Amino acid sequence: MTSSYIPSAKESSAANKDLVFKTLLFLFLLVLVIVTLYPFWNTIIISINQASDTLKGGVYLWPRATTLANYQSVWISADIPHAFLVSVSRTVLVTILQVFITAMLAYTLSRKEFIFRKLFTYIVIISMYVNAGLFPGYFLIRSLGLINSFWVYIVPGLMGAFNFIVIRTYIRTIPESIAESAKMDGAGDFKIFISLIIPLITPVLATVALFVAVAAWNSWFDTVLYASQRPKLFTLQYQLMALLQSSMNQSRSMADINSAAQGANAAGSMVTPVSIRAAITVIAATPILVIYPFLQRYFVVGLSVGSVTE
Amino acid sequence: MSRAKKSIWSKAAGQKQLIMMALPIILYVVLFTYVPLWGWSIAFQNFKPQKGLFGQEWVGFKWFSMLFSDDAFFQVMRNTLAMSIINLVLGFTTSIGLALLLNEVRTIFLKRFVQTVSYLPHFLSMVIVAGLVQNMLASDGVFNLILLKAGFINEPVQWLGKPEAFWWIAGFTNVWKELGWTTIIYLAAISSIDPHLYEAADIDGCGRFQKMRHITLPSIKPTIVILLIISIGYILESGFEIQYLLGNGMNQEYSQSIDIYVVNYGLGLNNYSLATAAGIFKSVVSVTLLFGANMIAKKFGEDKPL
Amino acid sequence: MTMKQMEVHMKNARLGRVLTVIAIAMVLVGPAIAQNNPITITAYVSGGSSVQPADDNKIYKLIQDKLGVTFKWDIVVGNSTQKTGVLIASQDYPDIMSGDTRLIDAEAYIPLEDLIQKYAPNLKKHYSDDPSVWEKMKAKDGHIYILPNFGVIHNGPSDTAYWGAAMWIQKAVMKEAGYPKIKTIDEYFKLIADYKAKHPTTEDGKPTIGFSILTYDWHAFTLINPPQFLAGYPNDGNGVVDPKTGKYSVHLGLDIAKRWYKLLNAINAKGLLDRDSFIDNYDQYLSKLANGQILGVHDQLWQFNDSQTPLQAQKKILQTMMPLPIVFDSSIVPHYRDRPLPNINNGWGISVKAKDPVRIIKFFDAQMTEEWQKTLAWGIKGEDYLLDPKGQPYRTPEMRKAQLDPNWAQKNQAAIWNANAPKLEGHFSDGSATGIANNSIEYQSTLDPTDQAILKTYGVASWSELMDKSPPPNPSWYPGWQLTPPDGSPAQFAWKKANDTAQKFLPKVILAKPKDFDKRWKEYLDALAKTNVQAYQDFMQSGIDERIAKFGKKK
Repeated sequence: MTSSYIPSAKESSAANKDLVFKTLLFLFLLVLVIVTLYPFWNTIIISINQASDTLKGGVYLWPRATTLANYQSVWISADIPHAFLVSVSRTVLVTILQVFITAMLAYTLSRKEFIFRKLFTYIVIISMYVNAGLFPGYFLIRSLGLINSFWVYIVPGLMGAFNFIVIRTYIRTIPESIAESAKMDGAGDFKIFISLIIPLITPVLATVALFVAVAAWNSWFDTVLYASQRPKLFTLQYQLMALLQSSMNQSRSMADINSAAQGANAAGSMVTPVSIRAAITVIAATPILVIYPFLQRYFVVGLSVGSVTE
Repeated sequence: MSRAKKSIWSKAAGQKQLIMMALPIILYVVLFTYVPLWGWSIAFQNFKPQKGLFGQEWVGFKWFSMLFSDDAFFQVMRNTLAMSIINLVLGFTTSIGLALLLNEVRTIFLKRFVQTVSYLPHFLSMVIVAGLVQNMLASDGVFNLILLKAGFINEPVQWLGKPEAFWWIAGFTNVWKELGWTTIIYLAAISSIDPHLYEAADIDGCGRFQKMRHITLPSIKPTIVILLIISIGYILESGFEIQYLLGNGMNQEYSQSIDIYVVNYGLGLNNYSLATAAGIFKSVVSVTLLFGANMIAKKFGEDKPL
Repeated sequence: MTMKQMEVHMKNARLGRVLTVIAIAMVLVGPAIAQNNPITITAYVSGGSSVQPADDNKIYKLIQDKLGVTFKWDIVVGNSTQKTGVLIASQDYPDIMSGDTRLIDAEAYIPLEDLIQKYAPNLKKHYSDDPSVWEKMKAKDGHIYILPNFGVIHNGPSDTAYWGAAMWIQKAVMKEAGYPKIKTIDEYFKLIADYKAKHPTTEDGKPTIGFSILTYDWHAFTLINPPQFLAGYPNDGNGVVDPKTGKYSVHLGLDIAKRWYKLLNAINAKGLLDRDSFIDNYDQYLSKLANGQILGVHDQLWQFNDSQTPLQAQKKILQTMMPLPIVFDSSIVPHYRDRPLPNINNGWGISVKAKDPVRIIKFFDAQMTEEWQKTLAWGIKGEDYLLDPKGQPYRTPEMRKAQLDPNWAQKNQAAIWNANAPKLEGHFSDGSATGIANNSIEYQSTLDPTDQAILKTYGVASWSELMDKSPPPNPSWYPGWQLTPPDGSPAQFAWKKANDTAQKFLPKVILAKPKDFDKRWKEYLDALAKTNVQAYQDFMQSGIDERIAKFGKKK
């Protein structure tokens, strides 16, 4: 006969408290999910809803008049495939480069013995708070020959000061003994960085990679300033913005008498800024959402921490 | 040769690799950030782009005095600071809190799912978000509906017409939009915690919250501290988009931030000089606050945050 | 002559004849060849369509084949302030640029009057038919820099749809009252009040709103504009000009403004005003209109036309808005509709860095022929429009549908070029209206029968006619809104402050309890006094005076 395990009073009250906590946690997370998912869901719904219908309001959880017109107008007008390619190239390239370069700098400035550590650190950090403005920036880019060149998307983005701080903070949690013993074995700093440190900091590298990639993917103003004369350099986000602006200007063209929107034909194919914006958001966000899970597993750790029962 | 000098050079020689790894990057930063600061001279001119770089008229501190003598500017400063502080407090507590809570979730799938969904708002442009907020806070919107049903109010309140409510509306909107995103940093920090610490705590009979207090929080303290210091440096940066999109004639007094002011009276009037002057002012304040925060952190025993 | 000599003579003669033929050919064909030398024109465009035309766009191809011109477009996406500023600072100008006062101030354009006189007879004729147009095109220094793209009419105006400012009212309200002829603002508000009392909600159960105001962002000029129209002044922008004395007064604190806001205050007390007017954004305003909730607004059609289209699609014509020229009282003559004005400072200008200004101006001239104008405005005959037996153009339903599709336009219309190009407007020499939709056959077929019936009841042929059968000639200084203070001037700053003050205080004035109206109004006036609005007023006055000096007082 096996004796059944009877938990003591203390243990059962602890288990009850734990249950309460878990229930509350679950409810809280549920609310969080609803509150953060709903707007994105709503955006998707609006993007497949007829623009003239959305205008009347009241479209929340489900489309009332489905249509692909919003996406069609985006796809055809803006040479999307090529812009997509440009965006992907610039994003991948600048992400790899910035992560590597910033991490390397973070490593060197985490070495307490480095004689220039304080000076260099200040230079980097203060750079986050000073901004010279548009004109000097433009002249710099121009004198570097980057106007209307693909490299204007890469060269200015090789180091990120905020990302530097994030990586360096993380590196500091690595015990000094690891690097010291490698040094005693005769390894130079560069080798230590590449072979020892990088493997140890993958979570923060994934994090920073995500930040850089998203920023690069979403940027469009640099195209406006530096590459607007070469349509082959237009990025996806830029084209989408151009489309959005077109739809906003369409309704404002006071003297455009020829397009006086009369007749039933107008409503079906009509696009409004709201609907275009929704379609644009979905298009621009989708690639990020697709690759996100691959990066996520680096920083969302699967450890079971703090729980009593399995 | 003095001993001090000798040791610096020999030290430098021994750190050749570090120098080669760092110096080019620092020069890059100097080129892209500090060299263009010659452009700050625009703030002391009556800048007209067509006159070229050397043909400008100098006006000294005219724009600075214009900024400070405008009553509106102080109101705008107050608004900016208030919104930044609210954002700071709300932002930090919620993102750290969420990171800690997510850490308590055992099921990997749920953990990843919640984390993924929570950052979705980051991808919505502020224009969309503002539109949603407008609809929610409208007289016939969800928010009023709930309050009416629950009996807290008798008739719909025009939330966006109430100036005092604006700071909180902006704060919560900001938190909601960026929460999932900023949590990522803390999650990454938490993932570096040695799991053995938790096992040892289990053996010692520590409960959930005790583990949080004694293991998790202290381990991410350096991250928290440095992000806090950086954010304090950004305190005049409370933003532009929310204030622009949700601001209107009625809540103007509380919604206009420094950036809005600069856009209205600087860039909006093609007055680049005024805009640059405001930028210089912001930078000076930022760096001062930054070092101030750093010193305070040191006094509290933090080991050289910067 | 010997045989030999005759042979030589004949050879010479033949040679001479051949040479002569060649010479004549060269004289005839030469200029044509030179004119059609292929040239690529680089252009900087701000405002308007932001999407690059398709590579196989049929109109641009036609331009390339017949006139030898291809374009490279640099189109500004996003706010143009920074991009144009950077352009000016770098001085990397392309060949032509769309009109922008900042670029004029930056001396980025070349003077055009001599080029037009010498090389562009069509343009000269277009802009000189009415001598005041040529004068108005000149900048402060007396040169012409921009070729206005709209507003230069020939053979009489032809507009039908009314896009301008009006007191708009929902057609259902007018129908219920039996299509009365009303003139005053009191009659207007009474109709609205009566209708709202009988119909507190729309068919879909949404609350009916008596009167609403669009105040979002830069659209908010509709809050401050009504007083001038109600008082019978034409649209001079931010102020009114006394026709007798030529004195300009900013209308912000004037008695006519007080009268209007007192009226709004009164209807607010009766529950007829949309309290959310001051909080709603643009989309919410459009949404309420598209749901047929709003009975009356003061606005300009191009601002809210998007809201009318869904209603038209659902055949809910009675819920769309119609314009009325309402004034304060019956002694005032309304002056809403104006005659078309040259759209100065908007159009193409040639930059100081243009490589071949002569060739460019010749191209401008070449596209001014009626044939090219019809191609640019209407499209290609047979593909985009047809002619009826009388020679009037019209479109089939498929053609009309295509016109509204922006994707189709990208391939089939030279929209970017044409938006800024000089145009023939009004009527062509064969009597057809230059805007295809303004030709009566096309206009009538695109009008809904309900609209046709309403127009018939009022005895007019179009909405423009309803507003004013025959608008008076514009005053010499008109319109005031074309005068903009230079960047960085005290006048510019003063207006911004004054406008911000108005946007801040007027909601309080309007929403106050009627007994508090005078108190709030005084607070508003006091706040206005603190802004230096006099600086703006002085600037405007000097501008008006200049124009009066140039063109004579009054009409």
